[in-house]
Amino acid sequence: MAFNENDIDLLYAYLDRELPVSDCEGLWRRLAVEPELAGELERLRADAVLRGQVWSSLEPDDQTDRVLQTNILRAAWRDDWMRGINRILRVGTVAAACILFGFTVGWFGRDSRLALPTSGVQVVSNPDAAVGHGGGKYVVDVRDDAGRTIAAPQFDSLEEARRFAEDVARYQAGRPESHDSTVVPAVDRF
Amino acid sequence: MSLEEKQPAVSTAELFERAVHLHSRRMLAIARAIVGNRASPEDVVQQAFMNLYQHRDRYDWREPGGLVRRTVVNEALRILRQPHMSGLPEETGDPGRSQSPSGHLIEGETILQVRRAIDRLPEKFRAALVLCEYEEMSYAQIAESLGASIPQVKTWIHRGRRQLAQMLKEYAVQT
Repeated sequence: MAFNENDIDLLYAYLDRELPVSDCEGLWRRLAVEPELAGELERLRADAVLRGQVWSSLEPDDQTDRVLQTNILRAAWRDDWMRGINRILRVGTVAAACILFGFTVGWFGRDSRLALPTSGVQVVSNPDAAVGHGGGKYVVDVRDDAGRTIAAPQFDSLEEARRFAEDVARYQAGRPESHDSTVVPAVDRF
Repeated sequence: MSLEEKQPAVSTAELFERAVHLHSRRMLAIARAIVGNRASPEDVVQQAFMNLYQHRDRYDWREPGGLVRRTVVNEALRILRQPHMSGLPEETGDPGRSQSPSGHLIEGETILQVRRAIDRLPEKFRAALVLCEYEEMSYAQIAESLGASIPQVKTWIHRGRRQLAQMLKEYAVQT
């Protein structure tokens, strides 16, 4: 009895151990009575053995395998090393950026601190004296580096007030710049 | 104290190294079967292992055989899908390099012809065949490895064998 393509697929599945047991029993019965089919099975089996030899021939020899293993492990080590370097570079870059940022902020902060109201003296008329609440007619408004009034001595005459203001201004122009936030009232030095 | 607690902890890097020593030979054979002379099989295997190593924390390295095999097959197929893939110089044929005990039993020329015939098969056919016959995987496992259905894998394997038989028949007629 002749066999067809489906029978060959059946034989392939049998050789691949993919045929269910129930189908195997049917196939064995056919093989017993169909010598052509049995011959085809033997031919396919021989082909499989030949291909098996081919697959084995693709296996590398010991030296090739050793070289391959060494290359893989070396590449893995290199990958680890590069990752470590990258991590260090990343941290270094972030640290450098922080330092640069801090320096920049400090630099501009220094400028803005200088731009704050500077120390100075100003002669103004005393509003309390004008409404009869007492005190001198003129007040000298003495301010610190931040522009806050630190003293307000009162004078009866404009001449006295101006002279005092000129003295304070002269002193402030000649004094060393304060590097801390402590305010030295100009009047304390008189 | 349980047995597991007594065992020293093995790092992922050590497990990876173990996997390389254990599987590199067979993986290279699979890569050779799939890429043939179109690319360097050594590069395929090395790249596959490196792909795994770079994401090593994601995988379970205690039984890495299936994982490594799948990665090598995928890498080989990826390499073959690249455009302008040019073939390397064809091997002049050294079937005896296997040094397998049975290698001398087979006539070298026949093995060479079968290898050339396998090399002319479509890449999916080659991949399915080598996994089925060399790795002795089931159709279901092959389907999972190749991302295909079981009937598709069955078709690839059967067609691959038929084409091989046809090519070898033609070769036999010519000689």
